[in-house]
Amino acid sequence: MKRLLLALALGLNAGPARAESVILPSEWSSYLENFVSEDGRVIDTANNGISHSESQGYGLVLAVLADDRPSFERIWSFTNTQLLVRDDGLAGWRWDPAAEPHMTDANNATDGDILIAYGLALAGSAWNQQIYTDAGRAMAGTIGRRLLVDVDGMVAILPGTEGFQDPTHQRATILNPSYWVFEALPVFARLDPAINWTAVSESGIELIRRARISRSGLPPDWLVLDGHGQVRPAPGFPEEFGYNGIRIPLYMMRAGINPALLDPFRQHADAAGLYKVDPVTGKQIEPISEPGYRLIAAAMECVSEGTTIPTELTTMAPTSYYAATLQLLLLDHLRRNRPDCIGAPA
Amino acid sequence: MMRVIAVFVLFAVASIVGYATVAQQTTQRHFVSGEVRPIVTAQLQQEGAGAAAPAPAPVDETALRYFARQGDTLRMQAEIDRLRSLHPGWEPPANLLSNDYVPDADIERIWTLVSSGDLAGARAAIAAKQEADPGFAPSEDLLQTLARGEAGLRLRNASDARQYETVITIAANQPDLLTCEAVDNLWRLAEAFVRTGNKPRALDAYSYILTNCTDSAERYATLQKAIELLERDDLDPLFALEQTGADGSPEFADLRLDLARRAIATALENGTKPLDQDVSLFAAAAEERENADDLRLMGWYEMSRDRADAALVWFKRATASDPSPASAQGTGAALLEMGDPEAAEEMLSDYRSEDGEIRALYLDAAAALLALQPRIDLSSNVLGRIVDTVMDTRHAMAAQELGWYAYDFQQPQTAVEWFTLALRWQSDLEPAAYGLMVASNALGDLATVESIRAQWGPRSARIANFGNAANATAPPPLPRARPAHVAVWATAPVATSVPAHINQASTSAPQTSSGARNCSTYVPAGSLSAGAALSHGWCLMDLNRPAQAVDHFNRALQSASERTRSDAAYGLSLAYIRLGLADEAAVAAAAAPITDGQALELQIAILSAKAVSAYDIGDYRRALDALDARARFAPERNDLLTLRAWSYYHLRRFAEAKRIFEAVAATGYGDAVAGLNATNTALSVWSD
Repeated sequence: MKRLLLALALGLNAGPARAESVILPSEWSSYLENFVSEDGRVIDTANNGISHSESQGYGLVLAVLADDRPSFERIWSFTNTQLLVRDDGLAGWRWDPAAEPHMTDANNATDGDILIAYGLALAGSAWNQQIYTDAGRAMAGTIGRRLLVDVDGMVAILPGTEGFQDPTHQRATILNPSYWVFEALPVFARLDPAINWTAVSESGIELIRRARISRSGLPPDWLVLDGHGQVRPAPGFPEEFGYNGIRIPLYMMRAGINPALLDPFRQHADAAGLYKVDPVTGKQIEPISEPGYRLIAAAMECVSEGTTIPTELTTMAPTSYYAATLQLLLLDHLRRNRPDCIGAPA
Repeated sequence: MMRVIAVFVLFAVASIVGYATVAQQTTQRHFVSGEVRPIVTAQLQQEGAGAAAPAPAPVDETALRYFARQGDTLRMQAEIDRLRSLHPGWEPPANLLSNDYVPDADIERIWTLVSSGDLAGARAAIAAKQEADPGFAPSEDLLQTLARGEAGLRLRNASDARQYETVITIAANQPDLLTCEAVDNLWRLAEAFVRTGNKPRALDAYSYILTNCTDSAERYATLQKAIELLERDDLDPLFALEQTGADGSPEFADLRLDLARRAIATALENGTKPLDQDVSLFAAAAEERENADDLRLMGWYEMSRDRADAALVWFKRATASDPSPASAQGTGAALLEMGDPEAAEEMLSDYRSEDGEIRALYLDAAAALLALQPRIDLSSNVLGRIVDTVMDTRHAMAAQELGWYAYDFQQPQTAVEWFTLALRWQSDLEPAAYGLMVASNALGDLATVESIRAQWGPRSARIANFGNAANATAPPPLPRARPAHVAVWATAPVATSVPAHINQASTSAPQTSSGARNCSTYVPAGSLSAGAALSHGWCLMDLNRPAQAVDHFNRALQSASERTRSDAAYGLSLAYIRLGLADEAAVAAAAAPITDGQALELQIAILSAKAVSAYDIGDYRRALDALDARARFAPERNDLLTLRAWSYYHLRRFAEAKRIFEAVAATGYGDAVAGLNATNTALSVWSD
């Protein structure tokens, strides 16, 4: 089963099968209790309790990884009826329980769409439900046809249909490298082979490579490529590597990308956790230290140096929706693929 | 009824975008009610296997009995049909309400969730039950109910998010959402059709409601929504579906009236002409209901059509029904327009401290009253309240009118005081300066006369030329006959049921021929409609009063009509030229588009004026530049040729000066002869 999930993540040979979950029932019920409402809404507790396409997408992926089909149904029902109403078949990104109508921004957020489509594809495989596979394929196809753009000769992911391109003023396209959910791209390649998803993966890795030659070595959360193809902070956005970027090493580890590329991320992490960093100067702005985030730092050390992860970080801590989500995704990966990192026999 | 709608919408949608939409529907059907199919398919196979087994599983009658207890006969019959097709030979129990059957608590709970609108919970519960019991198959009715509920949610959310193609697709795939019982869905679908440019289908949806649905409040709201989203002309087929209401009157009578009211208010706002049927409907209703707002609106409408006498009748009716400041304002404006400032002043006097608009109208009426020719001897009561209001408001225009009034009654000292006051309140008020000059002259105060001439001469030809008999082109300022005083009020309060944005209807009287008008009495430009101000401006030009005409053309430039603005820009430019203000003339000519012919004429005149004024201040090079520029458009007249020659003379280009003076003198133009002599003298001096 471990092999199977790994194969799925790498886009190799994943046949339909029921996944044996490595997320503990107590961890998952804690997640549901803290962050998922009865009507299937995944709540961003650190952001005034709003929801968004990203939170719904993570909820769908985790429900499959936890092998909890009733919760998947619940989260999907909300996602489908509340967010997936755009004319182009993608999800409106922002949903606020305090606003009426609840959808306060109908623009899409491409990482949310990728996560939802990925969750649907995983569900279709795991529970042998063609209907989910078809829905995931439709979304992946729309992403591939509407949201892939040429940037400096690369196939890049446009962060949303509106607001990130300004050709009339010849402004550079704004990108967010954390929108590359690497493990989803080979899955999309199986769903819709007409689109060159491999090239999308390579572009994401190339962005991380190019960021390495900056002083910090880290990609800004929101970036543009200048006339020389160099990574620069996007004008009009905070100049920082922060809560967006910290999931990049998580996605890289889950997708099995060359650990050498983790180096710049390791250099800006320590036992206290990760940091919000000024990507230009390399200066650390503030720590990012909930257990879920600290697990990312510790996992990088294990993947690169074989250092065992402290036990307290392998206990799911429902501090906030985002930290808990990243922690569960990483625990799922480590238990399946790197049990040696968490003190279990390899 | 459901079937009818289904056909209607499917046809409608397919006919919009044809094949592409049909293809999309297929995808969407998977998307919306997608969970249904594989589950059912799997379960049918299960049942098939079960039927082949020696001991068939007992038939699950939970849902059936649940519906029976709920009294839901529709669902009950659907469930009986389903169970019969799954289990050949099965017959429903005679007594569905008997207690000998142990219900499936899970299924009952699922139905309870569905009934309470917790669709996510119901989906989760079905999945949980399937995990626990792989043989479980939710009934078709349950799945359809869920799918319908989810589609309804998506339709509402898509509509709220202005995702109208999604709305149309959902409606096409789930036509049983479109019923009179859920009329909101039909409204949202109709709006989606409007927003996507498909008016005929929107009309179909509204027509469907008005043909099939009976709730009177919803029918009324349907037409209200159609009015918001469609054009006036599109509404006739919907009005044709009007029925008689419970009270025996047509159900949409109020809406028809509201439409007519809007049409009239819009006409006041932008000068369009409302449909005759709207005017007659609204007029009849206003008269019958005696609603003061409506009566006044009719009054202002008649004012905008230059029918002040008809307007007066409406305003008097309004006053009878509602003796308010608003009614008095309309009555006063109509009286003023009809040339009866005496009655207007009287009518408005009680309300002159109500608000700024009425006070300004009152002052207009007062100014017109003071200006009446022949002068009438106003009672001390009337004069007293006029003076009080003028002093309170520091109204310079009315103050100078009081000055002329005093002057005409041989009180030049009082006149001087009023003119002085007017100038203190508004230092650039030319008529007051002129009045001060005239009255000071009558008192023999020549120092003041000359001081005003020095200060104002460059700006006002009549002040510059005052006392100079040879140049006195302008007649004395004494007003003669009454002007046709067009004081259409700028803002007409209209009925409260009219949307707020057209409440402030600014009226603009159509431009009328200036020929019949007399403008010798001062009328403040601000009190006139744009069209009337334009006529007044031309009349003042005829009287050679360009300084006053400037004010009126400026007022006319505010018109909504491009034609009026164009004429006003032309007039304003001519007025400045006549005042010798070439730069202002050039600016004015650009204030609005004018015809090519007018532009050429103005250009020539402006360059002439520039040449003269440059020459006057001794800038001979600029004078020559202006003449050269002018020469590109028109041949030089003798006077300008002479000016050119004198410019050469002052620049000591005597040979060129002489050539021109000779040529012009040869035509018998006297001025050139003097120039020729001077040039010859200079040449003899300088050639030595």
